[in-house]
Amino acid sequence: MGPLIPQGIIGPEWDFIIALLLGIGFGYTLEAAGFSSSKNLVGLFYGYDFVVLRVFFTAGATAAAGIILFDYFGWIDIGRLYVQPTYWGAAIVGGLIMGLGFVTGGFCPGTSFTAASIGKIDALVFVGGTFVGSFLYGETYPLFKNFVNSGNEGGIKVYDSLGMSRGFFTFLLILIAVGMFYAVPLIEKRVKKPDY
Amino acid sequence: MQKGTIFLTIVAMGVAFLVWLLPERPEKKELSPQNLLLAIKDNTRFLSTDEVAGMIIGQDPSLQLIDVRDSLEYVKFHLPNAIHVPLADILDEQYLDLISGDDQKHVFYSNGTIRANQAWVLTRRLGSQNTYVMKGGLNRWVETIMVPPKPPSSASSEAFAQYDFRVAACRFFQGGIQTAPPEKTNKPLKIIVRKKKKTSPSGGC
Repeated sequence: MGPLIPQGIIGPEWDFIIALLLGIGFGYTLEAAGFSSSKNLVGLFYGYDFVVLRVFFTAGATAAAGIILFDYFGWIDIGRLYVQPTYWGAAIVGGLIMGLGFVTGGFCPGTSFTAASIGKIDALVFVGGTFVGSFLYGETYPLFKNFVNSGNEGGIKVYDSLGMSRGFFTFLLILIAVGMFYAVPLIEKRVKKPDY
Repeated sequence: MQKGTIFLTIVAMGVAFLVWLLPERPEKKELSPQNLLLAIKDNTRFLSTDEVAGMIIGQDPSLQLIDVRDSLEYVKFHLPNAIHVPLADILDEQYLDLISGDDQKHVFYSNGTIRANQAWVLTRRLGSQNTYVMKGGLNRWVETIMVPPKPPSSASSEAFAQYDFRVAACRFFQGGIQTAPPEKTNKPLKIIVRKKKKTSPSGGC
């Protein structure tokens, strides 16, 4: 049956409506999880708050298990899901820039909007910086074009690269997630939250 | 430890074992319409009659000729070792298994190019990778291999080499140049259908 749009069950003009609904849900979840506070977010880097890790591992494990189960029930065809191609160089450089921005600014792009929507001034500045950065990147794109588009590995999947089956990889992912849920409170207890 | 935490852990581990043990459905190899169009525009599927003749003479083990004409036409004449799969039956499961194998070059031919092309499009859409079309079909086969036209004396040495090859091929196929296409009565070859081995799901360690 699914995915709905690639199969032509609903038209591509629904893209933006669905994106809007998902965005509302995503933003609500981020805010509910406390992601609009940059103190909570950077706690991951200093070791006093692992809410980011908990939320993202839960989301990843739930989505992975859900897709596999849906595929098994015939509700969704995994082979038709779009997999973002991997560009090694660009992914590593982009990841470093993103991480640096995350730890210095205290937000990732999504959470900055969540925080801006509840009126945090630092988040408003962060969002402004996102727009300026996007504009500059767009203007200087020809300089980076060759690098950004080099080393395209296609839609590779981590379990294929590791030579595991899809199910076993997801099993490990959930196992690691559960293990972390038990382990991180021990770290949180040891690290004192700095008084800002 | 809270009861809720233990309960959630048990649920998570239950789901984890479930997704591990579930058999994976094989991903469909079906080609998307866009990619099929690209493949149709790309002419690499065509093999010339010379190439096919060369492969037959060289007893290329990877060659599998597939005659997609009617059974009457097939019985009247067909290329050596060609199997008969009428175009109407091409989607039959036993033939699809035969054609979808990647170990051989499956070369469709008909009288012209059209029916072989149709067979190619159908099987390519279903994900067969190693399918080809003999360009020009048997008409071109007769024109080039059975009754090879002698190149003019001003032609290039390649043209003469090709002519020599065709004359040799012609001798191979019928022992001399003929002026009319041969009408041999051949018994249809029996198709040996090899059942695909059912591979067990590769889940787990």
